[in-house]
Amino acid sequence: MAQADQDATRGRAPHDRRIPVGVRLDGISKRFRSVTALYPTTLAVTPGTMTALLGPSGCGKTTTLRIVAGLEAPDSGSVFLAEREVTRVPPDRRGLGMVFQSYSLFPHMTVGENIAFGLKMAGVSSAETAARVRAMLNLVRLPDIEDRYPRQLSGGQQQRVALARALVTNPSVLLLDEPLAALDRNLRENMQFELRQIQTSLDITTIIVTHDQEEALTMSDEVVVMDHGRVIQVGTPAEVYERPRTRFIAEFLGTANLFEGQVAGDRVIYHGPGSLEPQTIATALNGAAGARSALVAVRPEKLWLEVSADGPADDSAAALEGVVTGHVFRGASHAYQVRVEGRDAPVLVYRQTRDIHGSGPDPGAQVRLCWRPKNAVVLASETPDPSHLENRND
Amino acid sequence: MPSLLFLAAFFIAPLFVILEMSFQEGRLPVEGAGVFQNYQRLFADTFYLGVIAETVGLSVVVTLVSVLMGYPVAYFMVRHASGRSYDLIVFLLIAPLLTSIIMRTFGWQVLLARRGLINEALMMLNLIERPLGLLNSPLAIVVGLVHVLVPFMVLSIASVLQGIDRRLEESARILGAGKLQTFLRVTFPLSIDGVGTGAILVFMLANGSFVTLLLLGGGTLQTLPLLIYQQFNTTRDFPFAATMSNALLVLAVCCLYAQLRLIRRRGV
Repeated sequence: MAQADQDATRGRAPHDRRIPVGVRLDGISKRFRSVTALYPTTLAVTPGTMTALLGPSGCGKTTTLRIVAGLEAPDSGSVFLAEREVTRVPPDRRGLGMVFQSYSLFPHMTVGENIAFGLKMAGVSSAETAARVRAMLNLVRLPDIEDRYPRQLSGGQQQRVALARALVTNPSVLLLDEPLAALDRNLRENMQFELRQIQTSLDITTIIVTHDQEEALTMSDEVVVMDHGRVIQVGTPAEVYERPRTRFIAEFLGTANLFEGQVAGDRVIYHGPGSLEPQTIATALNGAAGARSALVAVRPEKLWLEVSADGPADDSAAALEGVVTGHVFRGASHAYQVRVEGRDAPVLVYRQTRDIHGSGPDPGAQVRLCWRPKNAVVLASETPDPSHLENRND
Repeated sequence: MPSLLFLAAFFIAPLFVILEMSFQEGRLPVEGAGVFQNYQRLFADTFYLGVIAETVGLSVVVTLVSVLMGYPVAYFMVRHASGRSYDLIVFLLIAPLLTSIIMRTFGWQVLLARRGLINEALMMLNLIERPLGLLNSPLAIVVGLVHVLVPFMVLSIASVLQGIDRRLEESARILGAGKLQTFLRVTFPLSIDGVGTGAILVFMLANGSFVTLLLLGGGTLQTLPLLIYQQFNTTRDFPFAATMSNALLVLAVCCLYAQLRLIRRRGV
């Protein structure tokens, strides 16, 4: 049995079609001294997908990844790889690949030796090792650097070598711990595409830890948003972005304009600064049903501006009176800051350049802020909802 | 500037005096051998070559024992000790350095003496019938020197171990290396600079050690410092003593050079 497992993770040639492996965490938790890094968390990663653990630092995402890797033992709960329990299996027997933020290339080995390390540990013959190392270097588009030392490489190259080293052993699951955080912006964007492309071409289950919401949204099939040691929302990038469950998620994933309204039936009614008449600002109550008031988030790109003189807005839209106080041209889009009399926070509006005439309303212009209530999201209160989250408290 | 003058007067000038002295005729002048006759005598006579070999050999042994004893301590200190016990270990390592080396060596005399603590204890446990000749042996010298020098080894290894990124070891583990393989292939090679620095330090200090040999060795080992002492105090052959001093100095300079190379390399 153990022998068969080893063969499965070690002996294969680089381009074998693998059967993607799922990862399941069942009620894992972790405390470091008096600090709870992770409350009991249950999470399933679909085979062959890329899942992002997203959250601010200290949210428990790295702890979760390290528990999957076997570098940290959970205080409670179990870890399953391909439905095999591995909670007590040491990291060298889990058959995983991992890339750290600092790349962690062995400084005393050449690039070739670094990549060959895992194969050497697996007892792969030297001829096969050489071939697989070369194949990997081609995959990450860095041929001919085998004999160099890591310190002679740029950050981006080190990143690719680290990826090659992690992939060469044909790991069942690839773990990425903030892999792009140390790269500069342009390189990071390229690597996002490249990583994603390699991941899909190898069809390898991947878990990526990141605090960068853009990275999480662009690269992954599923996003797990975490905060303070708990999972707060799991969904596709579009779901968590368009339908954030809480104010924390709405604000962490991009920008959100927040409005407080009264719940009436199945909609949220707003009567406050900028609005003379009570009006509907959101439909679909989500988790706020039964509450009296509700917080509503509207993404800046869901808003549009109408110059007041243009006549009444279309009836179904919510509309607030305001004054443009700032305007920034961002190339593909324009960003406006609109002040609403009586409201503390300015409202942000993003419009695509091709959707507006010229540069749109100038600062100082009286405008009407409009959005469709169906595009607004009613946020749940911050306390996690156990049924929705599969996330128990102790 | 005054410090520079001080340095010149008391450290650099004596070097030249010693150098000059080594070129003079010694007690056993060789006819027509010129200014290098003392050096010829030192390097041609098998007795003196033996002394040099013994000096270096002792230092090598002491260095090896210090590595073997110091590495585990350093590793434990850096990897397993909590903050408070780390401080305690550092204190325990440094505390002996606050006592005079003579006092520490006398301590070993008390322990190793014919009717000393160790022999008495072994006799009481009926493990031996008569006292072992522990004192005045090469073993006593090695024990005494290692005791004095191992803190240097531990501290220099620990400082390098501390600088090793744990993620490197974790990467190795995830890549399939067990704990031992990870140590042998990653941790140890990366800490080799610390071992090197410590080894050079210990080697150099052991080379020049004198008190320990005098008090614990009882003449069983003849090393350069002992011989120099003899030449100055007993034989009063100053030129030859100066020659041996220079030989010892050259050894030390070689070590310092090696150390410098090591530090430079790490700086890359």
